[in-house]
Amino acid sequence: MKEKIKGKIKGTAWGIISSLAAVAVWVIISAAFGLLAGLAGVGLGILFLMSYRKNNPYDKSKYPYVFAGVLMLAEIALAELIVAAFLAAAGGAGLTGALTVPGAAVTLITDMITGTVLAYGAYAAYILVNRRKGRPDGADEPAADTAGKKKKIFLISAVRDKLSGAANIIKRGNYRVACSALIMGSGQLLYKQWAKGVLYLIIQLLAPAFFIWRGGAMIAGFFTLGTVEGNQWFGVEGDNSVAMLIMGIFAIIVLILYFALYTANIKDVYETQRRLGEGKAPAGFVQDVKELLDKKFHKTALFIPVIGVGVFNVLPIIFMILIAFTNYGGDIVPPALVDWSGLVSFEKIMSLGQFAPTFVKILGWNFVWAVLATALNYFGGLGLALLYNKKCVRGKAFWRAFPILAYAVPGFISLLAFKFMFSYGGPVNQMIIDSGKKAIGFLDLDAKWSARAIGLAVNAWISIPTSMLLATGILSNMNRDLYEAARIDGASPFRQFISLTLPFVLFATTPVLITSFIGNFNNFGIFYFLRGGLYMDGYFLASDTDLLINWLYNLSIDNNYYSIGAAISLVIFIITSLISLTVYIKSPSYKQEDTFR
Amino acid sequence: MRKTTVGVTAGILGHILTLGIILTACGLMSGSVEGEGAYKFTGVLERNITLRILENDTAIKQGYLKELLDAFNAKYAEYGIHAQDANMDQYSDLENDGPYGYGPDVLYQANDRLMKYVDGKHIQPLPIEELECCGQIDQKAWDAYKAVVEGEDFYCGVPVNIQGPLLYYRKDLLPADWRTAWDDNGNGVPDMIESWNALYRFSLSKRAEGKFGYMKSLFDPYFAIGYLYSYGAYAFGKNDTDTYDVGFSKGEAEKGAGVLRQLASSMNESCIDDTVTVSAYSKIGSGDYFATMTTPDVYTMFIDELIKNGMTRAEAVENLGIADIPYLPESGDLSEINPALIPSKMMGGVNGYAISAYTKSPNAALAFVDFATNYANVKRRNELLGIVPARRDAADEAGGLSETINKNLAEGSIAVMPSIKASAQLWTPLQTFFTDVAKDPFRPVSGADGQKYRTPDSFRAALINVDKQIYDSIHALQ
Repeated sequence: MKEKIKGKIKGTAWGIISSLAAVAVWVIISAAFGLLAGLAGVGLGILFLMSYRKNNPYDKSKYPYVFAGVLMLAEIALAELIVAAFLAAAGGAGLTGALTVPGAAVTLITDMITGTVLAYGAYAAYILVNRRKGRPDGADEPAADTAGKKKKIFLISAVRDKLSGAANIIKRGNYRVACSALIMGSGQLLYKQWAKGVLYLIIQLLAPAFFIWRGGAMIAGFFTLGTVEGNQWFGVEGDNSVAMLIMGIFAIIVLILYFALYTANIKDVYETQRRLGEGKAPAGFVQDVKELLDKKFHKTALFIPVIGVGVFNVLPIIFMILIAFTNYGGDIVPPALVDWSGLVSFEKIMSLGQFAPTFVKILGWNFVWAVLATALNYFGGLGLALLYNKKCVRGKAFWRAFPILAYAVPGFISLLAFKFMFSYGGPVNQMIIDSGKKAIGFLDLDAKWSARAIGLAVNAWISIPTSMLLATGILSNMNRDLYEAARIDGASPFRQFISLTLPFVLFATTPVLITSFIGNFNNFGIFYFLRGGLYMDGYFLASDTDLLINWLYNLSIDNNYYSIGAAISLVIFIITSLISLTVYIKSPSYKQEDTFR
Repeated sequence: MRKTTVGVTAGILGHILTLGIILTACGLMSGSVEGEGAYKFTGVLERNITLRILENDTAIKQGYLKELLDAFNAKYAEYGIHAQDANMDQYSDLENDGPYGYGPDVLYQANDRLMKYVDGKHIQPLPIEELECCGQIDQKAWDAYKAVVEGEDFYCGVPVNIQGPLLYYRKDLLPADWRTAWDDNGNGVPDMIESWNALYRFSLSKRAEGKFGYMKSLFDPYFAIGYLYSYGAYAFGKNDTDTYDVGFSKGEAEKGAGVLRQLASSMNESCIDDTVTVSAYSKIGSGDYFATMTTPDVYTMFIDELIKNGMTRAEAVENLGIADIPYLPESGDLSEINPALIPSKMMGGVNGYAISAYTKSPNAALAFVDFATNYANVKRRNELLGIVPARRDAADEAGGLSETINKNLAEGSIAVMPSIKASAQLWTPLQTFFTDVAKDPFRPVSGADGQKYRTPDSFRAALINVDKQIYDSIHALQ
């Protein structure tokens, strides 16, 4: 009995200790998050205030510092309150076990949002105080100051303009704007803009409904990536981490869209206030619709494509990028639970001894390939187009049909046909054998450079027709008088090509050239179909003709290293985008946009 | 501060806080998806449902699937169960499609393809003792579908067809004097059908005539691995389950690689790529090749080619010889005269049915598998498609090839492909190695691009590299 009581006391003591420990951990975590959120809020506040100071250099008041301090304290206090409420709610709901990173992350986001809101509030209050001090009306609007100035960095200017516009609304908005800020559409309804008001109100009702129904869970799932592993054998469905990641991204996009509409709602009601202030009639629903079909038709026309791009382009790209920061791959594929792993995939890439040499070798060949293939295709197409443009060529339409036929045949069929042609049993080797020579392994294991050369040739066969068609179209717009003048001046045909044709075509096709370079840099099919299925000595799961994209495929699809594959694709993305942007910004197409207009 | 500014700020703050609270609360409340956790095969057939059956292309083309579906649908019409062709690629990926509600209810594939789904529990363990075919199938065939999970044995597929290589040859191309010159043991079977040494010797003699004896695309791991297995190599340790122990360099595997190189030297460069695989039927038909190695299900393609070359069907059947894989020399040297011989051990597979773990009608799916693996249907499959039945009664009835292959499986002369997910990582490293070995005799004898494999040590080093590549592809980036 004594032992039993002793055990019970011991158990209770352990329970208290472990509970206290859990609470302590949570206090530390919440404090850390609160501090982080507070700093974020303060950072935003300071940013706004700095913007104000920059545009109001005469203002020497101490208010910015006071506000920054108050803001920090308020934000930290609020963040702590939210964390405490979160703990209480979770504890009350018996969810203490679920209080892990996801919950904390949701708290952090909430804190960040409130931090931003506080920053806005502080900024608005500061402006108001300055106004009371008798500053001239409008002088405190940074946007007015910057108008007309050359925008050194477009993005920063745009953000600053947006923020000052928002501050202006907060500063000058009336109670109807306040109503719309609280409940979307209510301001419009107070202005008797019934249709618009009801539409915004519907959005106001639908959005929280979506987040209550699924959105909140989706966002939470984005952070947890699941907590219950499925076991289909016994009907335990479990969580699908990959689906949760995708749906989480989707819900965040919806959240962003909701905030965009929310902002539009406030701007709209403020615009009505402004119009009335100027003695104009508020824009009615019909007028707005008419504008959407006339002056703002670009917005109407682009609405659905933008949604499509968001769902079918942006979402997969974000998904792919985020995969690089998980442990998805190998044995960890659903129903096993995937987890966030930070930079582990990148660490693996860097730390694996065999990896770096292979990466360097493949990257080097990838550059050589992309440059040669692009140049070959481009100048091949241009050459053909110039040839077919010559007056002396008869039956141009007939000759032009041949490259177009090559273009019309699906690429992989051409590749397989070429693979057969150059195989040991193919017609090329048959001819070599018939002439008494030994068969040549054009694409076999030892055929490094002949395989690369065949790849270039096959790629040219497939791609030159496109360049040819493009160049034909551009050449038809050339001013023939220039050539006439050049001929009179004694310019040779080569000089005419270098000084007239090439600059004109290059100017028009630089963006296409960049696209072509990127396309060739990431040309998966050529060596996959011509020479797939080989791992060479000195290469880690790759062959000497593989491009980065083929290696990526070997790693991610053949060997299931999805997160590693995503990390490599991020590296490829950075390389290609750097090259594209640099080349484009340096090109005449960007620098001398008006030259040929 | 102006009242309205306070109002707007409060409005924004209130709005965002409300949304934040909604998000936080909903995030916390969100539970994970859990199921009922029940045993699926209750014996009660689901009614008024449609089963999607994924069969192989040959079964569809030859009309076997239609026959099977018609018979099954007629039998189960009273339950409203309707089975239909899943109408999707035969290698569709259940791992990626299943969790999202796509994919078939029943799959027919090779054991390595089906068993890779066990890791994620994408295919359902079956109550095989409830199936009519259970006692008729050899344990070795069942083993291809056995998975050990947390110490317990589960069977996740039902064997239907045993795949194993056989030697196809032209009887009419045997030398006229083979009974005196090519039958050393006097057993009435030509030596070149019994031993690789004799077949190698015969191949070299055919080259002098401008023709070929044995021809095969040697890069193909499915047919080439057997040479390594015969000398003690294995894929993975612990009965092909331990991926940390890759064993293609184990035993005296270098002897098998040497045999492969010698065989390549008796062929021409076509053996390096898939030229021989593509042209083998027509070349056997035309008499350019004497023999090749392939699976039993392509028998009719050889017959068709022989008919195209002027034979009647009866003559074609008479002249197309099919034999077990010849014996290998214990020394690993094909040029040795009167060598000590060891049996060849080739890679094979067991095709069978499995049930998707995502099916909504597990009992009806089980009924389908039971129906498709009964004696009558397996026998019919054998008649129409030329497959080797895994059912002993159907194999005995079919005789010939079916008996031989079943015997080989039972005796261990057929090593079944590893039934684990990691087996997918075997092929590329092995294919590269076999291509390299097949290419070697055609390289210059010396120089930078000269022959690489002239000693057993060079083979061993290359095989160790293969093991490493396989290990890396499975584990290096885990």
